[in-house]
Amino acid sequence: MMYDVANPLGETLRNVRDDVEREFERLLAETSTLAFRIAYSVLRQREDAEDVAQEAYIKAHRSFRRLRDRDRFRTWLIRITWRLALDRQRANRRRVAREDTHGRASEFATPAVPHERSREILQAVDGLPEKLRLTLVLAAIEGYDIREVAQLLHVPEGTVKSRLFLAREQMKEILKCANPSR
Amino acid sequence: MREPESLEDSTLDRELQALLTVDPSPHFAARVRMSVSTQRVARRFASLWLVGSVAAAAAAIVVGISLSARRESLNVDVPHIVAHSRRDIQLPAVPPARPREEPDGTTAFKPLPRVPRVGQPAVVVVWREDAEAFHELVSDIAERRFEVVHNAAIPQETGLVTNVAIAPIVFEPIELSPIDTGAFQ
Repeated sequence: MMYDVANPLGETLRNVRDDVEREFERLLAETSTLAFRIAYSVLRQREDAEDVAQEAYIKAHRSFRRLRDRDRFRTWLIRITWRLALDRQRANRRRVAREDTHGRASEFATPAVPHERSREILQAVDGLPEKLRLTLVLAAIEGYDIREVAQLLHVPEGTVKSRLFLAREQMKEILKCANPSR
Repeated sequence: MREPESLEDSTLDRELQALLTVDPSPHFAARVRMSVSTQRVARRFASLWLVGSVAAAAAAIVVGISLSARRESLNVDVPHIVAHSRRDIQLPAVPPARPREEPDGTTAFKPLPRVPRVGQPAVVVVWREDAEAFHELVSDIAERRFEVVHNAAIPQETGLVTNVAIAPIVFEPIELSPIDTGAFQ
């Protein structure tokens, strides 16, 4: 084995690292809006959603080199962001409950939603089981079709179809219960 | 029959899309990029710090081991003479403490005299060279291997330097001038 004087090991490693960083930059630019919207669909607060998406990218970057299949970056990022957003939502709710018991007004009490109808829809989304909720949100926020959602979630298209169907049915039920006159 | 339901589905989807399709602030991507790079630098610094602290700990261990080895070698090289005192110190018998009746009827104990420790030999630690020289001197004296002579009696042919040119020190008397003692006259 010949020793390449022009390209020693240190330089090769540096080049690999630079390539990895460039790829991460590219993926960040492609997916930043997606990550934000996923976080926003859970939290409905812009600042919180941005914080969570940022945290998701930091986590993703930490383990990016270990991700063998870079095509699955979106799936991976969606899952990280979704988990972090749910964690933040739970933390916010706990904070609200704590502040309510102390009789203080909370800034996280209810996210500002302009119309009654919108509030009902978002509450219906929150009432869905997690898998149905994520599938419905992904189909809604980016206008993805069933094939794209299946690719993002790494599940068969049939699964996405059935989840979307179930999600819509359950939403209708929830909305009907919330407002029987409609 | 499917017409109104599918219409409702699409309406629902549209409403949901309108509610959730929110764009991040314009600086969001830059902010994320900045925080990622900050974390990257922090991680690199942390790893360097870790390597440095491990190296420092290893160096400290090596220094500690070498110091303790050196101390042990010093202990081996420096023998010591333990001079045991042959005399046993005879102390007067100390009477046991007895309560003493005070004039006011109370009882007091007289403090016992301090008892010196008996039987512990004095330990003298000296360098090996000094100890050897001392032993040599003692054995020479015991075997009378040398003769005590006066400096003046040393013959010249022995080669010993006897006449060291040291300038004699002359003490000159200080002349004291008479004190002006006009007051006494």
